[in-house]
Amino acid sequence: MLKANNLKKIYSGITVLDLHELVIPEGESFGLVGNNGAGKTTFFSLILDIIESNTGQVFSNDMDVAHSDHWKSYTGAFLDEHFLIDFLTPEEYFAFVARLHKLDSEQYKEILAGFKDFFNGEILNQNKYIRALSRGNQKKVGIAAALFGKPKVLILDEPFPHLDPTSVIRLKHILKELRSDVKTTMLISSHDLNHVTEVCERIVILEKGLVVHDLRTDKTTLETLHAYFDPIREEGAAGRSL
Amino acid sequence: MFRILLSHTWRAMVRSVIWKRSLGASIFWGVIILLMALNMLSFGLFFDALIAELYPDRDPIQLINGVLLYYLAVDLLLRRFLQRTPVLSVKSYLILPIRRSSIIHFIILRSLISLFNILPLLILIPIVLRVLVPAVSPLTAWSWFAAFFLLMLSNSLLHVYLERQSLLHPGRLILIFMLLAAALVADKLDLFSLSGLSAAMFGFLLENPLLLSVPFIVLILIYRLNYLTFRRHMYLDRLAVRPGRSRVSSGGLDFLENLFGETGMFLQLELKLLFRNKRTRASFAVGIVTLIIAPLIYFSLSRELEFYPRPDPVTINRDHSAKTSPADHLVTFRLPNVPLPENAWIYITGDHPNLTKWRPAGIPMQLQQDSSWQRIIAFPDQARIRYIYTLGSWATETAKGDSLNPDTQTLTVIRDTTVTYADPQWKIPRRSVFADVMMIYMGILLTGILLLFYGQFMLAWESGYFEFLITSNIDFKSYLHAKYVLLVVLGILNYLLMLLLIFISPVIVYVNTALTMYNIGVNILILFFLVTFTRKRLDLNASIFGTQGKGAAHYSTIVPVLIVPILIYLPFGLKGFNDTGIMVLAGLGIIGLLVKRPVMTLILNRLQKQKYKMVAGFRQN
Repeated sequence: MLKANNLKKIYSGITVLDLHELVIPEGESFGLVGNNGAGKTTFFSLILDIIESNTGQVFSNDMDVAHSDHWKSYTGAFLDEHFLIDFLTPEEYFAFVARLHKLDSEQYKEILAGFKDFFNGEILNQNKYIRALSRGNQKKVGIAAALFGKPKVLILDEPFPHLDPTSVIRLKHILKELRSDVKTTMLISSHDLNHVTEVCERIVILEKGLVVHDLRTDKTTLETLHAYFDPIREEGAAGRSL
Repeated sequence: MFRILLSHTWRAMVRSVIWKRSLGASIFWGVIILLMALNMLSFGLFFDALIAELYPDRDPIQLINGVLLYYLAVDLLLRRFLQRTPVLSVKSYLILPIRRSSIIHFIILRSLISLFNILPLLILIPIVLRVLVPAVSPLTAWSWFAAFFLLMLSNSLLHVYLERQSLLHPGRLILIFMLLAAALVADKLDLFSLSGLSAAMFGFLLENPLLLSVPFIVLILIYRLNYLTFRRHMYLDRLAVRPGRSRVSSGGLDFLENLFGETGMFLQLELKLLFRNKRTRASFAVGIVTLIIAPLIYFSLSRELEFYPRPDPVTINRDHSAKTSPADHLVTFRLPNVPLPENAWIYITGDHPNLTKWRPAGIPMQLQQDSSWQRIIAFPDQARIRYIYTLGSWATETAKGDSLNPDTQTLTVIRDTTVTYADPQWKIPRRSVFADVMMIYMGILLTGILLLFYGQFMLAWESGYFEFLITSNIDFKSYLHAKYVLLVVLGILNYLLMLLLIFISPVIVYVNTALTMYNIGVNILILFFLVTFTRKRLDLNASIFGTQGKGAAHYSTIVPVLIVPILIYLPFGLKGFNDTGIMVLAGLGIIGLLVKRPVMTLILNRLQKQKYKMVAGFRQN
């Protein structure tokens, strides 16, 4: 579904991303972890054609994202608050997104009903603009908007921070459902190793723009991740190499 | 304690983003502010000369007094849009061991330090020095000044109080604006004179300086009112201004989508953008306010355009035949019954001081019972005078035969005489190039002010969610088209408001019609082109006076938008084809409308390439 080919991004002489080849097949739930400055947001930005690569391309469904707009019709994304139109009410924002996905009002209501648990009564019918919502709720609006129209590709950059515990669990539930029902290709980055192991079947660790590990999630993955990010441990030399 | 809080405020101001601009921008703004200050200062300094020129028969002090109440009203309204009292910044002080009363006094006093209270002083102090002090005693003059200054401060505090009352809903303010405009009109028509009331009030003050205590008491009362209000509300949840803001203005615009499809949906979004954000609203409001003030600006220009000014009865009846010494002689200037353009009046002017030293509408002639014109003027013995007759401006002076040479007469005054000038050949007036250029300059600004204010920041307004726009399934062609439609509508709205100027001079309306066509046809496209150079983020809820979002690209909008139409007009105007020049601008406007589609396609293509730079620019703080 997604393919990064010789993808490089350089800022002021520093290479912040360097992917020789990264293929994400259709339906995969792909997790991206790394410390700050690892290149996670850069990678997502390149996939969404928000920034220009220095070399290489990103192909979505075999089309270069920088030269075609087709991917926009099946890609849902939420990176940060720059994806919210904060002077709209959540309803207006959702209606706008629904319209963009050419959904009719029946489908729109259906989708909103599906989010009832996730919203927990704090998003709809509040008579408030998005900018007046709490940060966590704003995030919920953004994530819900990204999920509208059951996209074939979903990109979420650190969706879990600021969400209250109930919302985190419900979001994970929604993501798992998407995975089994619609076979959405999901790309999720997170700082929380627990969340990402729970949701993603494949986890890639980025360090200074390079892929240092590419793991299939199993029972040992959490341990492996902890070991990677905390090289000074009690027993033995569980250092950077695994 | 107060001193410490003050030093904090100072540091906050100095360290704020305003000063972190590039050197170029800082210099630019420094120059602008300096120019503005100089303008105001010189206005104050030359105020007396200005009044003497415009209203030679009115007492300048009375004039000033008449304006003061209006000033206070407009001041209060402007503050509503442009002045915010920052109260939330005291949040960090609330939990510290500082007396609440200190904090409150600090908030209130800090609100007094504002440009609104400082700039008017630049005009006022010179006026006091040059007009009032010579006329009344220095003590009276300065107590007049003190009284007004205290009233201004009271205004400032009144604004602070009203801010917390959420009485100043924009809708109601428009109403107040209308009331003010109505008062102005009533004044001009002598129906009800607010200026008269104001003049009487302040005149009274001048006569009884002890009345100074009244504004002083007013100030104390309003201060106390503010203090009590704040003390009651000294809690975080109550400090936030306008709790009523949670009222959301909802749809009602859905019909647009039904009518215009996708473009309508985007148009709805644009309108919400315009009206739901502080900064866009403020831009719009400033535009409307400027339009309301427009007649005043045009008023001075109208004198250039009025070819046949009519003198007022006072100047007609004024006697110029009083001899200042027994050796003087009386010269009777006569013109027989001559055909004149409708409403025209004959004036005489000349080099001698008694002939007003070449003021074009020097001394109006007096119409006699037999329809001839006559004027008797006294001159010293042996005076050598040169004189000419005009219809009120140099454009209408008498000429020799068919030529354009002025038919100046000379005379040496050695005894009482009568000189008759028969068969005057009045020049047919033509608008001066200067008048036209001024009209174009002001006209482009004023007929386009709404669309210029909004259009210059297109896409910069969306800098907060630009990434959403470029990753969503949005047809950018329709999106830009919606903006185009909104700008056209703003232009038309602008034009309709300008039509009121017909009361000043129909010429202005005719020129402005051509300029509106140019604005809508050409300048909108130029704005779209310039938009592709947007690089700076704009905070939709910041103050309109921040420099946030204004990069070099923004300043360079001024040149193509304002100067180009003047440059297009000039070759025609200088050759004497004023009207052709104006028509050319209108024609270009029409052409602009016709080529809109291909031009927008080009702009869209450019945008696709520029979007990375825009995103990078918007992401920077």
